[in-house]
Parts: sequence; structure tokens; C-alpha cells
Amino acid sequence: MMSLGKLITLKTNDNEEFKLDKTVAVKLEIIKNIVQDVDCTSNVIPLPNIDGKTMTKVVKYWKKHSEEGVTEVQLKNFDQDFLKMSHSELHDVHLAAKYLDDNQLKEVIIQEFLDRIKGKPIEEIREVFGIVNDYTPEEEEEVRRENAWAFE
Amino acid sequence: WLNLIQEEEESSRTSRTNNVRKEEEEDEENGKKGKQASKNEAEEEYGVIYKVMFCRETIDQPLIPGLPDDLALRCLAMISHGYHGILETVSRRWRKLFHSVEYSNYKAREGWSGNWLFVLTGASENQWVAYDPEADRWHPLPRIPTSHPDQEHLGFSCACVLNKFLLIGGTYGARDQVIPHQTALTTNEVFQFDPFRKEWRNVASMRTARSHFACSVVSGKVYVAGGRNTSSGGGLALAEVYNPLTDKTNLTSSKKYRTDLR
Repeated sequence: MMSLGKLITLKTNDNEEFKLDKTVAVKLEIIKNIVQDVDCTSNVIPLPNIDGKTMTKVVKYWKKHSEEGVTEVQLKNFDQDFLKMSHSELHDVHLAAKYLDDNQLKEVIIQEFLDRIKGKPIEEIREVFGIVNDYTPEEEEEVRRENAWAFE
Repeated sequence: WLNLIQEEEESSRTSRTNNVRKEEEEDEENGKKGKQASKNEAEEEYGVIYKVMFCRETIDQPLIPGLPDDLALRCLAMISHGYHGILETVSRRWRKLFHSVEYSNYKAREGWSGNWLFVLTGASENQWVAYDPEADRWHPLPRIPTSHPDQEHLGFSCACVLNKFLLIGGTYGARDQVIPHQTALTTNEVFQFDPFRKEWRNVASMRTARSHFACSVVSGKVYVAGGRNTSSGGGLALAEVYNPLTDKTNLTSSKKYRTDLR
């Protein structure tokens, strides 16, 4: 049951505040520890490593994933949508998840990176990730020949 | 026939020492400035510093721009090496990564080395293929550097240890029955396939040539026992153990069929 007393506030490094149901928040190891350690009369937990933009995404993810009665399919669709962001945004969310010790979110982000690489043609990988091709044309030809089976 | 085996042993031994020599040469090149003499400690230290600087240089160039290397490494290492053919063509840096020992160790530590199935079919003229269930595809492996490429390989054993695939012993027989005088040759050769580097390597041979033998991996060591070869009529009473870490084969005590494998 939600009540006002059970709300805690997370405050990002650019002073954006996020009010969260305590039952959602204490699922996270780090927040649980802070809640236990600090006398939480003010109920404000500072997050010095995370900015508001990133935290908005993280909170959106948490809320959806702790919704009551949410189905697998809904979560899958949500995740798909949620992950439509640039590499740097994904990286920021990954860093936040790392700081907040949220393994599930961390794995989701890594899986997304993986899916952006796996089974994609070389040119697309280079373009999407901005990787400079440092092979000479001859070298590349040689490596391609070596791995000819992979291009079948 | 026995002479043949001995010759083989010798040639494999010399090729191994050649390899060692080559590695030494490479090492020397790495530490160019410490070339004059190498055994004193100060210069060894210099070599280490040189290597560290060399690493730094490569680190400056990120695996994936905009991502820290640890995250990029994690992503890449989770991808089945069935995709490596494409991935290592992306850039020199990626190729270098996939071929490094650190990378295969990392994959092994995380349990991401995959479950490959290695297959040799009779009609394939010693062409091994591997199935990668994650990428759902078959890969032809490179040819084995054996001295009997045209003969049928039978009675060998296989083992997987330390992320390597070992192909042990067996008999090479004439594929073509038209040449009746060609006798089967039992070998003590052991080949090791490294799925990350995608290459076969000759590793330490067994002391005894054998085919149709028992083989098992216990605590990271490969035990082979029994089997037969052309000089033993009723089967071999010898067991050996191979340590992949040191690349050495030892005989275990060889009391007839009461071999104590400790």
C-alpha cells in the first residue's frame, strides 16, 4: 500500500528530484543501505553520479518493471521501446545502473549493445559504432579471405 | 615402421624447438633497446616498461568509441565466436583482441566460451567442421597440419580442455583400397585446435602411438589408457597423462591393466 510516509526522494547531481515508492526503491541494494544508514527524516537521497536525464530513464524502467500485474509481453515491448537510445545514452544508463547496483538493468543494456553488433554486416557495425577501419585494403582483403566462411 | 615413428617424433621435436626459438626472437624484437644482453635484471625491467607502454598505446584507441573498454570488452566477449569471422574484419584492434590470450581467458572465466560440436565425417577427407549452436551455423576448420593428409583418420580420441579441442592419436589408413600394400599407421600425434585463433597446433605427442583407446579429462588433465598399435598384439597396457598447462605427457605407472591413475 502506498502512503506518503513511504515515499523517498532521489536527488540527482543537477538537482532534479524523483519521488519513489519506498518499496520500489529499497529493492536496490545501494538505496536500501542508504535508507538504513542515514536517518531518513528528510527522505532525500542524493545521487551525485547521475544526472536528471539519465535518472528519468532509470526511474521509468523501475516503475514499469515493478508495476503490479504487468505481463511479460508488455515488459518486452516496453524494453524494446526503452532501449531506443543512442550509444552514449545507453552508456549513461549503464553507468547509473552500475552505481545503483541494478544488475537487471545492467544486463539489459549490455544485451542491447550485443544485439547491435551480433550478426550485423561489417559496414553496419563500423557505421553504427563509429569505428574507424584501420586496415589497409590489402590487409582487409586478407582477413576477409581468412574468414571467408563467415561471409557465406 | 618403428623408424618412421621415431623420425616423426624427431621432426615434431625440432619443429617445436624452432617455435620456441621464434618466440624468443619476437621477444627480443619487442625489447629492441635491451638487445645487447638480456639476462640482467635491470634490462628485464626495461623490457616490462616497454611492454606496458605498448599496452597503453593500444588502450588509447577505444574498442568502441564513446564506450569504456571494459564495457565494450564485456559486450564483445558475450558474442559467440561463431561471429568472429565478421567481427575481426571490423578493425585491427578488434582482431587483435579476439586473438589475445586475455580475451579467451576472460571468456572462459565468464563461461562464455560456447558449446561447440566438432565433427569429422568419413567422406570428408579429414575436413573437420564445427557447429556453433548460438550462431546456428557450421564452420569448416582449417586443415590439420598432419603428415598424412590423404589418409583416413580412425580410432582417435577427442577431449576439450582449457578451451582447446584436442585430437589425440588414432590410425591413418589408406582411404583407397586400390593400393593394398599401404599399411595403417598408428600415431602418437596430438593436435590442439584453438577456436579463438582458429588454428591447429602440434602439441606434445604421446609416448606411445595408439588408436582405439580410452580417453578422459580429469581435473584439467587428459588421461589416455589402453588401445592398440601395430607393435602390440593384444592391446596396450600403458596409460599416460597429458597436462595442457605445461604441454607435457607423463607415463602413469604401467602395471598390466591395473594402472593406477594418480
